[in-house]
Amino acid sequence: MSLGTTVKNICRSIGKDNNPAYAVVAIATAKGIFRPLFTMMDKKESPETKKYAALREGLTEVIAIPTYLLCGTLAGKGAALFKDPVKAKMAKHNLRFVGVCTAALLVIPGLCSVFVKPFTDKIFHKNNKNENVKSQPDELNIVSKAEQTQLQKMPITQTGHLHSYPAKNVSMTAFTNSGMRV
Amino acid sequence: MIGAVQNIISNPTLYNMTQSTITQITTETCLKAVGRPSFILMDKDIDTQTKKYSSVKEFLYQMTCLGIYLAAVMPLLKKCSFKLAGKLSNEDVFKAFKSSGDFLKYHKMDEAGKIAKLEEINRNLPTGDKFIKENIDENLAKGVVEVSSIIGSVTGLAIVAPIASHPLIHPIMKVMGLDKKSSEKPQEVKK
Repeated sequence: MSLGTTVKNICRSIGKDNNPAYAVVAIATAKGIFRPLFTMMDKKESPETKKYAALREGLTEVIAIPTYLLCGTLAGKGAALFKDPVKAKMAKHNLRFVGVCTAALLVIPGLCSVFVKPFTDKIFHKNNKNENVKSQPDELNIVSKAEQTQLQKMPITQTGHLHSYPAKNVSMTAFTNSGMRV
Repeated sequence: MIGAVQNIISNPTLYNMTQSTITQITTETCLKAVGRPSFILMDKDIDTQTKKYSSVKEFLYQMTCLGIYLAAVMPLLKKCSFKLAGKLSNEDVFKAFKSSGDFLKYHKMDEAGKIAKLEEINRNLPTGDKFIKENIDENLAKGVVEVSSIIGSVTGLAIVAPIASHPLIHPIMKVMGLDKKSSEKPQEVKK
């Protein structure tokens, strides 16, 4: 099938029955790409504000696309109540339109206020925490990394090494690495 | 009561109206212009001034987008798309009707009206060509109109309108005394 035939078939299908969800889904998809892009290109805002706004806008459209499709389809199911096929066809289309309008007016703003704000807040608080951890200066390492000599804590009388010189295990590095490091 | 609801739902006028992409987009944008600011105003976590600012900005944004879409994008696309389709395709429907407006008038007519309109077109043809109703692919022509409307909606509402509305919204909000920047300037001077 050539491209021309495919385009013609798409046009015929839309011309026969123009589902109200097609246009709004196409717009939501384009908005989901371009709105965050425009926000990120704004030179007046701070990078943190831009990221936050772009994420919110992107998420709003991500929620909007399936909601439009779902509300339209679910509302269209109500047409099954009509027995007359001509009336049922009209009712299906009109109910889809009502479903899409309900999604735009109530469902999407409601879902966004429930999910988008907590989600973005969670991400940005997490990032802020990480930044706080990074921005804190490293704690002063006051413990010397020099080799520590293992001193015998038990009395020599109890170790059984009476004839050995007790200081023979002490290496020279213990002396060379000690003292203030510059 | 149920009968009345059923009559509204299966209303042919509503069906014909909502078949048009422009009607769909206009209705949806108007609802967004009402719904989104209302939800912002209902938010209890934001202070009153910010709520007022955001809701007015959202309302103005939606209305500006709709204005730009209806006034600039759609008339331009409607003209071009039908002519372009006529050049790319050999279908009789694009030869018989010069513009999408002429075709849409024909599309809304009843059977007798359509035959009469085609006879009128045939009479005015300089050549011996004749258009018959069976060769007029209405679904294709209607589809071209609607697809071009969808493309126009996407271009207008997602690309052109956000860029064009930005310089329009701020002066309006400044006049209304709601522009945030004007209230923030004195603070910046103090710093």
